[in-house]
Amino acid sequence: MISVLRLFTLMLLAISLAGCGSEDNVTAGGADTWPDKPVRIIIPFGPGGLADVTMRLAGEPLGELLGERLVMENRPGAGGVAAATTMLNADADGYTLIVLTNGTTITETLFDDLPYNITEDLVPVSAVAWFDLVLLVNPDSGFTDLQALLEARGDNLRIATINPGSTQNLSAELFKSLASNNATIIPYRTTPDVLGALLRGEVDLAIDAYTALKGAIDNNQARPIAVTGEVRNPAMPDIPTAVEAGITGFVVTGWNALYARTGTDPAIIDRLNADIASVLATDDIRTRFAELGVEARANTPQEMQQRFLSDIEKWRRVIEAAGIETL
Amino acid sequence: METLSLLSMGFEQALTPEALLFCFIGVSLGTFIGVLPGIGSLTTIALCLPLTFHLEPLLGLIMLAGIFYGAQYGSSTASILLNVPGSAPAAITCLDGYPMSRQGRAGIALFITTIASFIGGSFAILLLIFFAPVLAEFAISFSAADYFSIMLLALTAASTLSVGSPLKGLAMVSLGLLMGMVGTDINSGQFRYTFGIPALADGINLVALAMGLFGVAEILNNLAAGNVPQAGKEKISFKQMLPTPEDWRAFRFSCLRGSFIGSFIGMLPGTGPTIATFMAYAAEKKLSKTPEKFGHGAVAGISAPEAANNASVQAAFIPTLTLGVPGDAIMAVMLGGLLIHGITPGPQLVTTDAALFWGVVASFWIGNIILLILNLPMIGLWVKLLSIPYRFLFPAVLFLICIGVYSVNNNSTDVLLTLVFGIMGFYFNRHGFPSAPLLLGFVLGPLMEENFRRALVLSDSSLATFVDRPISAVFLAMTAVLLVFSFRRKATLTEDKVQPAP
Amino acid sequence: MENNAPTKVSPEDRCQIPVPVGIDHRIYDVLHAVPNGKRLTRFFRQFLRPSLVARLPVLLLILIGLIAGSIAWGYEVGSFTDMGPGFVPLMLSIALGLLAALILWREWPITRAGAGKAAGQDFAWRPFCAVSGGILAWVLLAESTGFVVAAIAQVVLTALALPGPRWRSILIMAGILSVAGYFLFVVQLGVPLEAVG
Repeated sequence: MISVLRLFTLMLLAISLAGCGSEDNVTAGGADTWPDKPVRIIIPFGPGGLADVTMRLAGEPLGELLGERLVMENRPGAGGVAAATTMLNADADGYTLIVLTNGTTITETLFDDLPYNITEDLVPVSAVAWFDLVLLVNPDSGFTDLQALLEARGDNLRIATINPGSTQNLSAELFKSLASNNATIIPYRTTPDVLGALLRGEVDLAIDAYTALKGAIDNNQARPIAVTGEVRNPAMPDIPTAVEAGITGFVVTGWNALYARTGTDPAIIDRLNADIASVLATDDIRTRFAELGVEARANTPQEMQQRFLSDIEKWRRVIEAAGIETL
Repeated sequence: METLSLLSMGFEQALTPEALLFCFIGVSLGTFIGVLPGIGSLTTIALCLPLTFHLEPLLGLIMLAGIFYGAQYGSSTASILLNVPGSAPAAITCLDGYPMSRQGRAGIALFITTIASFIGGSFAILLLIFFAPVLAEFAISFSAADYFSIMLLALTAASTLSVGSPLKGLAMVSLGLLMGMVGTDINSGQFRYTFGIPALADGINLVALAMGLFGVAEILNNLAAGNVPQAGKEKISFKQMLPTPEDWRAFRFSCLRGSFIGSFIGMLPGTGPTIATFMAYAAEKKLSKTPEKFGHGAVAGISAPEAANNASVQAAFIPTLTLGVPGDAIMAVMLGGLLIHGITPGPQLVTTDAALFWGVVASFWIGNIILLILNLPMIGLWVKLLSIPYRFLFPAVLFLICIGVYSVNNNSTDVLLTLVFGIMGFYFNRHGFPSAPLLLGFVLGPLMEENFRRALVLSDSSLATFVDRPISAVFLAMTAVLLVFSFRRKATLTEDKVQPAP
Repeated sequence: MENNAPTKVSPEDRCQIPVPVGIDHRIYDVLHAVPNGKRLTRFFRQFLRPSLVARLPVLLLILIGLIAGSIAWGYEVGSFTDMGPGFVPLMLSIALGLLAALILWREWPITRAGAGKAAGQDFAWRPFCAVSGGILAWVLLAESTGFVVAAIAQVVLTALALPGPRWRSILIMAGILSVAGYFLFVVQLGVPLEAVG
């Protein structure tokens, strides 16, 4: 009995080792044949979220252009660790890509001890989607002007956002430091909770992504009084940017971008970039993204890299100034 | 009435062959997933979501919703038959369902839970149809102080959950509350008890905890005791499934109460079916004339939680569909599914896309009926499951638990945690420390703290807010009454309950 | 007085000193029954270890309370109306510790028979190792070597919890579960695990 057990365990070990060893360590044939099998795209969020939806929308036409299917893999988890780990275990052959968002730049500061190093391990391919945040008030509050709101509420200003460490919350901290120094930021768990708080009149201002609250805005449950982008949001041309409204320096734009492993053949990256750019330029994608409140715009790997680094720096300063604890 | 005409339009939509087909697929898949321990409706819906992108929005939503409430029908099956919950909310059904099964009344238990699920679901659907806007407004008006008071009531009621030493039950509640603290503190962003592990930054996974404490621990318990549950080998006839008249009497009002509690809790955004089932159970135990029967096969102990279970998941659609405010994580995923079709949920959905709204609502009812028809005959099948020798059953159950827990976050650490909690649960159970209070504490703790602190921030640190707000005051009063009641009961009980351990 | 298991102390061994009030006469018996060297080991074996083992869960809870409390103290505590992140964890740790201590006090009188029972319940090593080993195998193997291998390893190891030579049925079951599971969970539902490798 014991010997059979031992034998079996040995067999199992052998299979496991064989399993590990048989992984395709040879990088698939260069840029000429890429892609010749489906490409995995790892999404560090659950299905139904913004990053997931935009990538799926863009993924279809992109897959057609490339000639191979794009397979979405959701790997949610704190700090994006699960997704990053999967990504790092993959080869630099262009068959595994990952979606990073501006949230990733925040995580870089928030979590000291990450098992991955983005700047070393990953290279950008292109940005995919850009989205602003919106500053909202209760429609019954009578405020249509950001400055008027700040003056009226002063230090009693209450801002609702989602949980600490999120882009929205850090934007609120940034807003606080640039505009009204003693506002109280009240974090809620989810965007619907934020909306609820606004509806109940518990808070004066809510800062959240346009996409998440588009329905509420269209329903007149919440009234936007400023957007956080560099230019006005085409879906709401009458709403000024925060900078126009007088909060100098308050610009926050979120983004999703595709990244590949460092060491991927540059020709593959160039090809991907070009294809993504052409997909994002099509009317169909632009309209569908716009319906979500998102702008479809590609950029070059160099631009993306620059943006990534500057965002890390930007949020690092905000985190330090706000005194938020890092893990 | 306008509502009825809208409803009939909805039925028109929902009774088309495609709609029926997807409804059927959804509820069947949901029931199947619900029965399997570990994998729950959230994971399944998330995994099926991409499939719906290529379907019409109505069909996709019907199917996903079917999975959602279908899972609640199935989750009690494993609880009753194996003492292993199909999902976290079903853990409470183990408490009385499994003893009933041991008494040879498995068929009756399954019958009762199916009917109770149907009644609970229908109750909530009726609310949804006729009172949705009013209820949604009401639900959204709940502020942090109100949530806190409700949770406090739930926690006080939790002290009734333990069979055996109340002190040990309380200790387990405290431990559960403490374990709920692991993760990120929402009011300050501080990482608590995470020990530098990013995976813990989101807190301990509820599914891992529930499956470990109730699933793995139960299996370890059976194996260690050496007396593996022996199978009942007879075929269950329909007659044998029928509850006795006495059972029906216990069933009637407990089911209604459970539906009511479930609907109430379910429509509040941010609460979940787990809280609803626990509260329904506690309410039954408190209101019962024979509380000592609970934990040993009381009918009310399974009918109320099951009704509450289904009522809460149906009621979660109330704020979701009418206000665009998802009741919980699963709703949020479904709404995401709508987003990709270009439909932004919100109040306008009811008016501008009335066809979609009423079609979905009608399909709920149809789905529940399908589930009733589907599940009743399957009871015999499930009971047959018991006749599989345990030595084949338990590795399979563990297998399902492993993959089920993994599939929630695609994270193997969760499975490891399941094992740890299983060992912990096994060990503590052996020494008389019950697991159910721990689970409740774990679920309630973070919510209570978050809402208490937020309530104070909103009221500028004034404690008066808890009594000023009418809803909060009502629930605090109920808690006070409950406490007084419990103490009086304890005082009048003879000292025979308080004995030193032999 | 409960009936204890008869001690192995012969009347001649027993000390002739009257037992001081308050001391459990059983401890006293054990301590004074045998001359020095063996006294401690017997005390340990017959009394201390079983009673510790019997009380371990409660002691563990107290320990958890202490550790959690000290960690919570490190977070900003704040006051009742202005709670910091450490307030509630600290309160809960104290509550847990107090409750556990209360339980310990209530159940302090523990007879040798009771202690013996708790220890005598042989810790079921075989099921414990089998189940733990099976799940651990799954955790370690699932992502690296794929679903099928992990599933087979888990089912086989877990099935060893119960004695009896039934290799054939175990392997068949493992095979069926892993393949069926693969089709249900990976292919159909899309859980991102490879089949092999």
